[in-house]
Amino acid sequence: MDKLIQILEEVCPGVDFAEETALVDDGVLDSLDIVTATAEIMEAFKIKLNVSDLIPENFNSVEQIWALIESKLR
Amino acid sequence: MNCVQTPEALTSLRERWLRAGVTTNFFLDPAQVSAAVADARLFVAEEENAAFVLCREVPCDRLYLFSDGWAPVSWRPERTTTFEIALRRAVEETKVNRFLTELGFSFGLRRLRMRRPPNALEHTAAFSIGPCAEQEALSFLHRYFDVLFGCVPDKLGTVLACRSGETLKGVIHYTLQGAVAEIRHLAVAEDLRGSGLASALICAMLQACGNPLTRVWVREENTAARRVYEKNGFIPDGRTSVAYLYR
Repeated sequence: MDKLIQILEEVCPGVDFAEETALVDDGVLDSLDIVTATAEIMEAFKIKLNVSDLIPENFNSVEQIWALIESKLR
Repeated sequence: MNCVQTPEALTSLRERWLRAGVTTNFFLDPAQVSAAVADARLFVAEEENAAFVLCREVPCDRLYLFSDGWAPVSWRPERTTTFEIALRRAVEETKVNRFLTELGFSFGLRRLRMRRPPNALEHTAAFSIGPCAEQEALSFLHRYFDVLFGCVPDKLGTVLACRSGETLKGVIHYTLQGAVAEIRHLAVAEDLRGSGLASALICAMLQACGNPLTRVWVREENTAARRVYEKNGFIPDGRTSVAYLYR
């Protein structure tokens, strides 16, 4: 998960990703950030995400993003 | 290029290009895509190393791109076209610049994103600030924002303004989505610059939104605007974008 937090901190500096639970709902991550983070995540974890995966429910917290990554690694 | 017939066709293209190593600046929301498809203003072209999505707008086309490693392509624009991308990291700018220069684009500008934490702003300058008719605000903003890179839309949405008699003296255009506000445009008439009106407009906008987390993209070289935002609690958040023009 450290690698994921590192990616998110590069995409959106100055955010306490460990604590935030409404990253999209509160607007911490905007659509641009999600697109950028998605490309980085796919590259770093060697997974394929789909357009249908790019929904707020999957990106509101580090835990949710991690769960999405794990679901693609299985 | 092929005219996109349905929003689903564009989703299918995005699906094909959503993969590791691909960089994109595509961020049209579904409503924008539907409107552009309905008006037959969206065109696509695909190559081995890239996909190009052109949105035909006035006064120029806007290019959205999916690039696999910024490898060379044969596609070239045919009309005046702008392209803007938020950089993932500083090293990427060199690749972006080389890629777009080969396509015939020239560098336009760089923007910084600034953010302000969610808290109230005290402001004492006495200005009367209130709603404003959209067309009047649009005319005012068009005087101060570049037609190619100013991003002034056809419909503004939410604006607040200050007037002296019948004359507009300042306008702030903003959006509020969820718990985050974004200042889209802020302009003050020349004779009131330095008077505190810009800060008063920011303060009024924050109050109208409930003092949320607020963002703004500002031209890097616009030091006057950056000073106003810094004075009102905004700090650069580390994101930058670069914009290019083909004509």
